[in-house]
Amino acid sequence: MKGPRTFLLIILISLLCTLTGCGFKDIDKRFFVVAMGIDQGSKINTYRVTLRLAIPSSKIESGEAKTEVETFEAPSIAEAVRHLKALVDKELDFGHCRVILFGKPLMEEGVDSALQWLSRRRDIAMVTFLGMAEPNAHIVLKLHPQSERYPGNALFLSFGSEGTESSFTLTEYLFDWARRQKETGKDAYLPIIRRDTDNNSYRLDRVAFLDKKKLRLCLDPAETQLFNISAKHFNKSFMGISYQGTRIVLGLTQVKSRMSISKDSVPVVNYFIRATGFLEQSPRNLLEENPSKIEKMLETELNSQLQDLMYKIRNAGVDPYGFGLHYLAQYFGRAKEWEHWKQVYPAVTFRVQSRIVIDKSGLIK
Amino acid sequence: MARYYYYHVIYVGMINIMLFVPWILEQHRFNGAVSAMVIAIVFGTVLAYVTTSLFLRFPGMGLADILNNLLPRGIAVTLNLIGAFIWLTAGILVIYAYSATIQQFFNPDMNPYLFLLLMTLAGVWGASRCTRTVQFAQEILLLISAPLIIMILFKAIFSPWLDWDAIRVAAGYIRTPPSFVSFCAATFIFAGYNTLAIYNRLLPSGTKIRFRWITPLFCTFFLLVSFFIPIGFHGTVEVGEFLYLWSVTADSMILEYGFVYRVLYLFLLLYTALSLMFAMNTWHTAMEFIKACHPKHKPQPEQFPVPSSNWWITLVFAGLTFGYAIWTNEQRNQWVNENWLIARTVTDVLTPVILGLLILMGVRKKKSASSVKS
Repeated sequence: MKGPRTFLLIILISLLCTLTGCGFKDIDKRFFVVAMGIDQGSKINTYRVTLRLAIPSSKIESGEAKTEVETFEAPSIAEAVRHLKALVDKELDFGHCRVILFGKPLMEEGVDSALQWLSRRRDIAMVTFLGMAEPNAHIVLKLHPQSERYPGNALFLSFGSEGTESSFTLTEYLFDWARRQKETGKDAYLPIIRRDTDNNSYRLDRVAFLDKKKLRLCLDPAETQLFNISAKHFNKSFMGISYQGTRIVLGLTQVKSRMSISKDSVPVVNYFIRATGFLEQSPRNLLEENPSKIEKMLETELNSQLQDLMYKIRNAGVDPYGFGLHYLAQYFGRAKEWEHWKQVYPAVTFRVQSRIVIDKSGLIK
Repeated sequence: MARYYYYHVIYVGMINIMLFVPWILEQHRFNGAVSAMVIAIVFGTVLAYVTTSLFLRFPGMGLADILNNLLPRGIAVTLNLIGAFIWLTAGILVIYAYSATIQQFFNPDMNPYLFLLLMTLAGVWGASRCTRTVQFAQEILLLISAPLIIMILFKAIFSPWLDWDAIRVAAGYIRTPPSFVSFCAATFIFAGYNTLAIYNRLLPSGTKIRFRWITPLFCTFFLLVSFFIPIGFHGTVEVGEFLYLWSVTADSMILEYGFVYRVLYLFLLLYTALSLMFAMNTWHTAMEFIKACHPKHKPQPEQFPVPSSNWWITLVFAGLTFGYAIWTNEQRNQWVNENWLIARTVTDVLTPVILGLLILMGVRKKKSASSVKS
């Protein structure tokens, strides 16, 4: 018994020799990248990488958060990042990089395999938010909003459901984008991020659709919200229509949808959507009069709007809803069905059937 | 005592991620993984039921003891060594895969052998305990890590980002003829019952293992989850491109109000416990198989302090792990993994066949003995 114990002791002591702190760097010797922007370079086939780095400070106060923006151009993202290390005094750490923005010109030109860098790097979380910056990522990352408490947090609170939850803002994660880039019958989307006109906050109320190669379509805010409601089932949204000279606004609390695609030679997409909500703004005693009439009006409005949107998306040659994938799923299709779908997709027709339920009128009648 | 049996079933069902089972299945997702999985579910369940019932015919005896008692020495030693080899490789593969994952995700600058050293030391210490201690340690580790792992699995299943259309498309490939490698990979998930090869020593005579539906229920669940959830998160095409498939899948989820934002780190931490447990268990079993080759060996499942031979054998295992780590790289490791899964399936079928033959022989002997008497 004595032998093994001494042996173990020797091993444990020799382990101490390895505790030289080889790979680990102290936190005060690291620069945390909070956001990253990828733009087209000034020359052909170059990329301009912009990093927003957090400067740690003891003060946690709105507007006091300090960041540093570094940028560099290189033939690939990996090379640009490696070179950026020479421009800073601390080790770059991507572990807290929560937002990655692509410049609009880059997306118009087309994304190629260079962006695989993102999936290859192990320290970039697959739950990083993605967005498309307008006019380019560098300008958006340069902005320093007053409301920022931690470096860069205004940027990532805008996405997701941690901070503001707006029905105009879509959220896209890296893993979802990566899968949509490859998936048969489902295309990628990116929320568009701009500087607000007062230059003090960001503006995220539009969405861009891409096919497997490049940017194809940008929606306006109203369409963006409609896409968010129908495709993403976003709950905290609203619908408004004019009614007898006033405006009725329905706040949605629950959205459900399903689709069914017929197997005709030119398929028909039947899209069923059911939304429940309460009245946020309406004339008095509206519900007592004729709630079903209002519901009918809202349904007709939603049907036509949604159909228009779907045709618009179809005509742009993209498929962010995943109709193609659903077609394959519904009929357990394979390569042959996929080829068929690709041919007929420009001609498919959409039939939207909506059901709207007003279950409350707010606090007053 | 049946609960100890189910601990093995459950953690073997969960460790499949570290043995590249999902990776192998995803590589064949369009040519026969799904149909192979269906066959594996039936096959695994039947095999689990039969093997367990056969082992219960030999109360208090491990596979090694049964072979030693009833077979000629040469054959028994050969079979024991084959058993030891299969079990030892399992532990080595998991330790290597885990330390490679850790190095990849925690700190790529780290010396890869440092983490391997820590893992093997823990494995050596755990495996060299007596059988009873190993069993208790397993209970504790599993009870700590399993609830959180199952929470992550359910979090994945109920995630709104899970694409059920992609899962349905992948499931549609059930019509392709099954592939052999994916069949072997899928049956591994049901292999928890095999630990009876040693732990049967601890089961007193007259033990009944009730609730046998737990095996097909849990293992089918783990099999479906480890195959379909990555497809739901990465789509039918992208899923084939990831090497550390489940680490990336865990990374696709967030704990907004948890202590750690990235589920990945929680996931890796839990799999530390699970991998250690697996290494401890497999090495212990391999060690017992080797010890049983000694002509004067007497099984002692409860022993304190443990004999120094335990230490030496497991230290050799640790050395072999280092040897493997030096020899291997990603391609070789995957090749070894695939072949190990195939070899394991073969021994899996062999075990009940041998046990069945031995029982038949025993019955015939008794009959002939009684007929001679009368």
